[in-house]
Amino acid sequence: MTTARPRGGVQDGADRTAWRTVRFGKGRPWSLPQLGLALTGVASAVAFLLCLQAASGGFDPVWWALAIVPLATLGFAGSAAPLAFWGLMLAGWFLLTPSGSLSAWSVPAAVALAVGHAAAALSATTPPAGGLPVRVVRTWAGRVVLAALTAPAVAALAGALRSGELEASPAAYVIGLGGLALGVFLLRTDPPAEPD
Amino acid sequence: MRPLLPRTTSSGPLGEWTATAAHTRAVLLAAGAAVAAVLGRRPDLLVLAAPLTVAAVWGHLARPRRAPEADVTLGRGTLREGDVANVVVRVRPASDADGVITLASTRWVERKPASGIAPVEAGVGAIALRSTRWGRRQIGTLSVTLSSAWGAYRVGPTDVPDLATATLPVPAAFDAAAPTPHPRGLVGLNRSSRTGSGSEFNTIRQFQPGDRLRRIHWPVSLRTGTLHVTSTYADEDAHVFVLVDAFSDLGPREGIDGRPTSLDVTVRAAGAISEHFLGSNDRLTLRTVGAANIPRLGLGSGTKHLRRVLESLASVAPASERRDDGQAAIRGVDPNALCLVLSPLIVPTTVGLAHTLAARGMTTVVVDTLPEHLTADPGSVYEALAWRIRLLSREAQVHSLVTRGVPVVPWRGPGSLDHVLRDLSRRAAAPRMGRRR
Repeated sequence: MTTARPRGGVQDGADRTAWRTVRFGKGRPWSLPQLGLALTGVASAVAFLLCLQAASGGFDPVWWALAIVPLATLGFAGSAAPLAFWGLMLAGWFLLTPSGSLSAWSVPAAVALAVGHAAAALSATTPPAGGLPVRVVRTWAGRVVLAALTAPAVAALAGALRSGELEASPAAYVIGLGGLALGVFLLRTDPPAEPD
Repeated sequence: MRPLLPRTTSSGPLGEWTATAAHTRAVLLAAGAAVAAVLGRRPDLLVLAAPLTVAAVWGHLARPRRAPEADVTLGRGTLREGDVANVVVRVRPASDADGVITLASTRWVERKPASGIAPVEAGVGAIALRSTRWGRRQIGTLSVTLSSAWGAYRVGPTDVPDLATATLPVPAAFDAAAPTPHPRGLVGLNRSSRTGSGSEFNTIRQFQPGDRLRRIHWPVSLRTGTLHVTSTYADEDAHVFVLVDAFSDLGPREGIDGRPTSLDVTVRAAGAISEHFLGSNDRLTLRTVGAANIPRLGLGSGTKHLRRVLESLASVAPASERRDDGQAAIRGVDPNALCLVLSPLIVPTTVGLAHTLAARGMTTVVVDTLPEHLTADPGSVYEALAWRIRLLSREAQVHSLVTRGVPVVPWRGPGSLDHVLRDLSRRAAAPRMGRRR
């Protein structure tokens, strides 16, 4: 592994967009922000597995090998690899946790899933040697926090429904159908997509 | 093939927004988890799917509706070696879409950031580039990629039409204190052999009708009782003919920051000589041999002509016309011109042209532009031997020129030509033995 700082004759002040790059063997150079995103993906996978272990009461240690997948698929952030990876993690949750359970560990697991998804999505927006401006990182962090806040809200709602404190009254069905209609309205295409 | 002209602006559509793998992932995982939660009565999966649902819906709602276009502007189309210019990309509409621009690596173009990747913020992105060698070239392929919120939709990477720049050679420092032989024109800084309106003192003589009153020398006039005036030598301009040998480009090409090749020295010396003589109001003609598609420059003077000369030098491609015998280049040259042949003296054609010019009775000087570092440190014993043979042959050619009376001076920057020009002026002013007819 070799590291290199960008050099060149254009020296007209501090360059805040130049990043130290790391090259693995003869591969392409990777900027430190990109490696940071990959490590964030690893951390989110570890966090998800820890939550899964706590929620399921333990699993085969071979599952821990999945933690290195975000780092191993560093160059495939913009492909279907993260989809397969997180699909496998969700399948693992579905299989390993007891049926009908609502563990409190699902909330941090949901946050880890959101962080892992965002890390892969953000990594795909820039080339391997590209950096990430602070403004972009802040914007994405804000989005992830907002999205992650829905997890405890949904957990609280599900917990209340499950405990019987909230009963599914006709009003709830009306509200649900209204929400569905609103979702369809927002997701419509304008003009409507032509059938093939 | 026409020479590449500078192109400083380009624009074009970047394409349509398309859903990314990230958006597909968010939609599929959220939908799959929600379905599994409902069918498998697993509320925890609903919790897991909640942030992804938000990401999917947010990404879809915040998707840009209009196909973007990009306007690319290069700060300056004509640069000097080592100059820096900015490439600015403006995306229309200037939405809040984030993105990156990527400038591909090209020889003799340094990029800042060195990776060639710069962010697009508020619809504007910029990359600085530095041209490190003279010549005409494209700056490299510029690609634009834009992403919407959550990286859900993306445009590109789309290549925009290439921009091109002309990099003029940085003239080496050059100055000559010696006068130019055979001045003949009406304007200029060279002292004529005849008297006239000028600045250099000649003598004090009696007033004649037509003399300017401000030339009256009052002390002598009062002392002698008759009007005397100060007479001066006329100032004249000379015709300088510069012949550039582009048959060979010897040495490693390292640009402005490294060691020069023989053609680097030749071109920069030609630029320096042109700048000097055109700055002295002399007339100058530039011709090249061994390079194709160089526009034939006429006689000219002044800064505009200097610009034309430098642009012609920037168009030189080494050894692009090997069949050139140079006869066209030396056709129609003023017999009183000072001929400066800039050559590393490797190709015999140029030596032959110098012989031809001298045989026509023209004042010819050969400027040797072979860099010293080429022969100073040969890489191997065979290379040293090859250079030794080549230099022996070259020495014979130089000797033949000197024997004919053509001075060969190595290019050393300022003052390189002083000695030889002074000698030539002295020789031009000396009495000559002529045949009485």
